[in-house]
Amino acid sequence: MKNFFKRLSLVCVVVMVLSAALTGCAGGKKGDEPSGNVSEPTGEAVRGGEVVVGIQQDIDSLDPHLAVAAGTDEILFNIFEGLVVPDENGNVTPAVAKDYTISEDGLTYTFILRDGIKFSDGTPVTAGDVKYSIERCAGLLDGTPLVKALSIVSHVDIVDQSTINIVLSEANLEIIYYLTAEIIPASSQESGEIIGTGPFKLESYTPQEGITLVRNEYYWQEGLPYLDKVTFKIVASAESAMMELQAGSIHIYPYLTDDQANELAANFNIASNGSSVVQALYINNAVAPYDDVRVRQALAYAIDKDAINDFIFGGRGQLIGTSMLPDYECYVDGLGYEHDTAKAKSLLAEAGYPDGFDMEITVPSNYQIHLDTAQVIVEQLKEAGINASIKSVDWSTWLDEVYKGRDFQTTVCGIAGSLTPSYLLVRYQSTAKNNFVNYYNEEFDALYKKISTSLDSKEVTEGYRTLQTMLAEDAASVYIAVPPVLIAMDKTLGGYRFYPIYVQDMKYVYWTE
Amino acid sequence: MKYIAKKLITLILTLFLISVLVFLIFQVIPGDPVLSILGTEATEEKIESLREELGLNASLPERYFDWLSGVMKGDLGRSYRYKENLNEQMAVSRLVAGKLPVTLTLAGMSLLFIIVLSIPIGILWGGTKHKWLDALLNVLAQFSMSVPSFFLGIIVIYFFGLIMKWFTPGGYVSYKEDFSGYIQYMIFPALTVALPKVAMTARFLRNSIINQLNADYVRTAYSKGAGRTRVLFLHVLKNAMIPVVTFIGVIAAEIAAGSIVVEQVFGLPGIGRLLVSSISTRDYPVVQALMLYIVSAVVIVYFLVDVLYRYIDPRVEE
Amino acid sequence: MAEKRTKVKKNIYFRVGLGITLFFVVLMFVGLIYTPYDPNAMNSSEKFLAPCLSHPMGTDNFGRDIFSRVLKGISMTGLVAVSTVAIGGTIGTIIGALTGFYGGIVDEIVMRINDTLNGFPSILLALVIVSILGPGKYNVILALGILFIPSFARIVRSEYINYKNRDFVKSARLMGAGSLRIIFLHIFPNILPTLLVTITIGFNNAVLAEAGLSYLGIGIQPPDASLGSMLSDAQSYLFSAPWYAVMPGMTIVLFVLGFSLLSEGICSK
Repeated sequence: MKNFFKRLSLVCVVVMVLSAALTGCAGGKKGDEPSGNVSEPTGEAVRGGEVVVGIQQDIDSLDPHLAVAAGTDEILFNIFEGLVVPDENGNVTPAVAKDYTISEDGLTYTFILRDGIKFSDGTPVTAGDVKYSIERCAGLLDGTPLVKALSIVSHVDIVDQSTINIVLSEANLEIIYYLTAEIIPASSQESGEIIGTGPFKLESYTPQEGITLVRNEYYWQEGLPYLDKVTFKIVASAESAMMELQAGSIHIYPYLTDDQANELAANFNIASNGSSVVQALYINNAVAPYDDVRVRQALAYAIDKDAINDFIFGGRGQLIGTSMLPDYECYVDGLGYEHDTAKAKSLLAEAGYPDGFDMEITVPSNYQIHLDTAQVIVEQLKEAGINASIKSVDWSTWLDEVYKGRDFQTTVCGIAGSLTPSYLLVRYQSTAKNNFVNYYNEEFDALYKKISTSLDSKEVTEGYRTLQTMLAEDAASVYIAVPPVLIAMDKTLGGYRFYPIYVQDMKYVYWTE
Repeated sequence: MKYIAKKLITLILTLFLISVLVFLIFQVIPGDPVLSILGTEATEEKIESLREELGLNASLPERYFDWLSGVMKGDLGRSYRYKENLNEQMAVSRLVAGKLPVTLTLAGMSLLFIIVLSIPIGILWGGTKHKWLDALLNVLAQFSMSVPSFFLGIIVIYFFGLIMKWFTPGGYVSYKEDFSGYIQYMIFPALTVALPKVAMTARFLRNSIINQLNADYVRTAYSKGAGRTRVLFLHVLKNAMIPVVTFIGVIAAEIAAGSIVVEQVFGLPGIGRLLVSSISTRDYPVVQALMLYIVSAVVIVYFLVDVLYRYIDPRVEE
Repeated sequence: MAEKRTKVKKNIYFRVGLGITLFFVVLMFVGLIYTPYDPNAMNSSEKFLAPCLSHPMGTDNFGRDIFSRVLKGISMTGLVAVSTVAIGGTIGTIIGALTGFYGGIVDEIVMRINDTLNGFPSILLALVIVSILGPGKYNVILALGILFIPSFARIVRSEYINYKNRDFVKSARLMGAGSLRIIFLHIFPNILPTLLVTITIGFNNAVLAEAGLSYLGIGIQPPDASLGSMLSDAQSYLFSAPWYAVMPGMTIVLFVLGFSLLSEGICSK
């Protein structure tokens, strides 16, 4: 982050050319070392072969710009690429573009297309395709931005056959991370074809069963991918995934529970990594009694995060005290509230609830970890005199009532972070559409507004820190943990890489003899 | 003919009623298909444009009659949830056609198990003179009828899957990929569906046989010197089977409608699971189509049984 | 009367069924007032203990005592079953009695609706109703109660059709008894045996339906114990903790077995 932002902030740097990966901690992720460690097999890498990956949920859309579920993005990552793509350190690295420059005022991004790059059907990628893709995301085609952050793109100009200018209406330090938006052929507007430039191409998709990808013959990176075919198969449950792993009908399963990981450790490669999800007891700040900061603080004191970590994540979760991932440079450690039932009780008494109150926790029933966490919370709150009950609802009801309708008291869920720290903070502006917790703090709003257009990286980082502290002090919600990702893999598979975002990158994966 | 016409009219009326009901019900249930598709990232513009695209902005009667006129032409509409490619939503008929074979295989195999197992057991049970055998079979039957299907499924998974390792629980393979592997896997859920029904059918047959054994014609046959086995197989069975056919028909209708719970336990991608997930994502066109299927399956099977019953039992008249 | 009583004594099903049912009724009340441990209390050092002396049914993934949870689950399931049958039985009997006795166009319409509802798998109907009402104990009771109306109505209706032209009804009418009086005072006692069997079967189905709904995650809400939701949680740990599934599962089987033996016994009485 430091280097990248520093360079931008120096006015004397007129043009910055990036040919390889961005150095430093771009986007705020503490780079340098890969986030997770996977032990590699000893054998030689073999070309070809087929791998079956177990997944939990059906994919929500095959349209890369419309897909929103993390579980879909991690698969589509193999089919589509943007001008730049994220790498395993959380930086961006050129893909469809071979390099790019940013103008002095931070408003114009100039991309040079990679020579000879082709879509998976063999047609070359043109400047027109890039223009179409970016305009589609930015809402310049029909006024509907598909990627919200790109709505600050004012126009896209084709300079020549391989040069594109993307012009912004306001400067934004983080926009480059959203230019990972997938490039699709302009012809797909008519044909609807699902084609990208990624290492694999779509072979077939069967709703509720799975999706099969085969190797893209025209992939630009020499020698990649290793595999001929990758199948993402939807498994019925975590338990059946385990049995399938043992029977060899799936080779990789990335969503193990702690108990399962321990059970499989002898025969499989097990690796763990942070999940980039902020799990919290999100509180509706606008309804009584939660509109009283003392009540929210009391909840925070009453909840024992260590116990939750123990019960649900086998101690592998990273505990947090604010809406930020510890992987980010700007993360403020040590925020939040230590478990202290007595303090919780006295705060409740102060707020006028010496005997506690009834509380409802709405939980999306398709997420077992949140449901389990809520059960532990109910027990912990009992000690502080709060009588909590769980209302489990299906995902679409949750979206409708809680996320959109804001008709709830509290909810346990996770919000997935992205490559930029702002993503986890922007939603706490009082005017934000996705401020479903109804957080309201004028200082927060003012500061966020100030730093969002700032080009001074130091100011931005400091601002992010202050914002996190505000959220913690106001106990906007009770931030619990970043749940771990536990993955089991066949011992003869190599090349699996962890990313700081949800991605199953299969292009480096190979079998050994 | 008159009978058939009357039944057909009832069928159509029932289907119409159900379709109106389903349409209305989904107006009351919280949850929005558009939000369900767009998730937490939805912007107002995105929601509005998708709503327009899916035709959700039209009024309720308008949407209903659009759907109805589509069905008349054999078009079940398009799924809200699933897309064929970037531009087109997946046709409901294609989606359902992909899942129906699984449910029908399950139903067919379970029906096969039921017939093959329950008839010999029922005959043995009804024909036996041994009190202890009668009691043993009765206890077994009572027991298997008391096991809820999901628990039975769990037991089958534990015993045949984990202990005996005869199949990989959850390791369903599509019939398109490996047909024999598919059939092998389907044996176990089919057994789960069949077992309680075997008990019911066998018991029903037993009672029916015992009823017949007390009839006058049996006494006549005995008095003419016919042996027990001969009486049982030549005289009694034919008459005793008639009510059993109806009974099996009712069961067939029930399993053709799909077993939501058993599909869930075994992770089968059949219409039961499609229905549950379509309800939770508010994919109404799919729900509508599946409801139509379920109701027609039930009514049509009943109808066939009725016709069959008329055919084999000459006493029933129009 | 005396003869009937000896017959009942001989009826082994009736006695075993009654025994099991009474046993469960006792457990139901015990579960309401006493459990060896707090059924919701968690303990991270006692996760997945196999059945032993201090935990006769073992512990679950939160270190909760399964025996205590099964006891609570029986109370919960029993409560749901009783309320469900009460709702479905009362409304169903009234509808069945009126339509059966009076007949006519209302009867025709009500029976068509009944037939339509019958065409659905019951779990599906419950699913739809709970989707409208939202999950939770009381909504499950309401949903299942509504679900049970048709079966009661159908059986009671056919009984009333059977009885309404009997001589004793005719003579009651001649003696000036009003319709409602005939329905409830003259005919009703005669259908009691049939109703009793229907109620027993109703309990049986209610227990299965509640467990089924909770298994699908739309019944009793966690952390409250329910036999069905315990089974659905247990399925994920079948390999490492088979007892977690077996204990609530066998409890349901016994519970249901008691009712079905009882109804069998009443029938052959």
